[in-house]
Amino acid sequence: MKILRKILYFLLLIAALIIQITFFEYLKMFNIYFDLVLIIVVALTLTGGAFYGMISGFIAGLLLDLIAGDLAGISALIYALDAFIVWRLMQSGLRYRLLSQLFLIFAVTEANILIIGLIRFLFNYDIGLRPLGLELLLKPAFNILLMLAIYPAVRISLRQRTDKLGFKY
Amino acid sequence: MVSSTRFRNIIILIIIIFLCLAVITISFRGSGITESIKAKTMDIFQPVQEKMFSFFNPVTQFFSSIGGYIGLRQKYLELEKENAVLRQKYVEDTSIRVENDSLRKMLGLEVRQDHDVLVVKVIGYYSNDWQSEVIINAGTSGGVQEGMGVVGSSGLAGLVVSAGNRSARVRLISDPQSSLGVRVLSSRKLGLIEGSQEGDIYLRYISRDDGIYRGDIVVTSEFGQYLPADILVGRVKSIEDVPGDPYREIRIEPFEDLKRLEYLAVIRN
Repeated sequence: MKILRKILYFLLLIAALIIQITFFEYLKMFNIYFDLVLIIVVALTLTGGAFYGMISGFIAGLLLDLIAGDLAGISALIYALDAFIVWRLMQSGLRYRLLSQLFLIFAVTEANILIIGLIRFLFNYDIGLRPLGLELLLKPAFNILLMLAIYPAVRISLRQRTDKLGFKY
Repeated sequence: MVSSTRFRNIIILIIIIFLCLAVITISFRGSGITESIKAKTMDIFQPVQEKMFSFFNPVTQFFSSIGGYIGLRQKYLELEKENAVLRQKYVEDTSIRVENDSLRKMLGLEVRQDHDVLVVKVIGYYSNDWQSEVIINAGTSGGVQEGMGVVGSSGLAGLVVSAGNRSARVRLISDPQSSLGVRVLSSRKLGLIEGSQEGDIYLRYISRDDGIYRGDIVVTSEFGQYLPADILVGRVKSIEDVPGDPYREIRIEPFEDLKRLEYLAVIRN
């Protein structure tokens, strides 16, 4: 992947971060929000590889926590782990099909929620089982909807020569 | 080739995990370094954030108002009733206030001053199960400091928890980490309001013997370092007696709509 394109994609991730704080935070239902940064990190991992995805996720997560989070480092850890999970799942033989994309988003969203809950629990924060359960149920659906809206637009703008909903690896 | 790539990725992940755990630990211990880095980062992104927020604001307001339409008629009828009562009280209170000010002057006490406020704009919002905060477009250069109270048009919104040069983070009163000393207006009893993961606000340490009723008003107490007393906070929404607990479980409905914050005022004195 060319250097210039990598820089462009990284800037896209930073833009997604700002849009997350200024727009998507207001589109909540049942206290659950669309995670635009996660979607973009997954897309970057699929296009640029695990190394690029993990580094981008780490930097974006750290910036998100520094701008808006209370505990710095959690989002950085989560997004880097997400990139690794996506890479491992693709290595295990997943193809570039719509169902694979849906499964990837579902898997990393669930992993996100559980890992964040675990870290917060270890740092003595209160964990509500009902909000956690609701999030485990609904957040993957929210993110999948967002993925279905964003990925085709990104694919068209990249002018990818592929006839399936997916990215070149 | 494949195995070396795999090995490299695993090493990178391990390094990132250790780095993140170190950052989380430092941040959890409340280090000054983390706070100053946060402040500088907020300042860097503040101009872009402000522009983006203004750009998306009409759309976010539209989506926020959709939720507000539910129960609108009921709320309107309640407000009409309350308005009539308040108009009556306003007339009575104005004459009491005039008398109070002149008595204070005669006794040499300081007359109640209007607060020194700085009007600010919300340029970001961040909420999850463990925090509920907004970002405002003013910081230390505008006289904003940590601990200062932030109010909206209807009542208290939150407290400043972190201030950069040109932006600051405000922890809302519905934040699970928020804890604020308040008074019940009718009985003048002291209590503590706390946020929760569900977004509800609870009034704590009001015992069963203390007089409190549904609709009672809660205001800030005089024990805040930067927060003046008698700022409107909310109204008692529900009262429950929990078996075995000497204190009542009281939910508060804030006067300020915390999901539709656009312009706020930071109380600087």
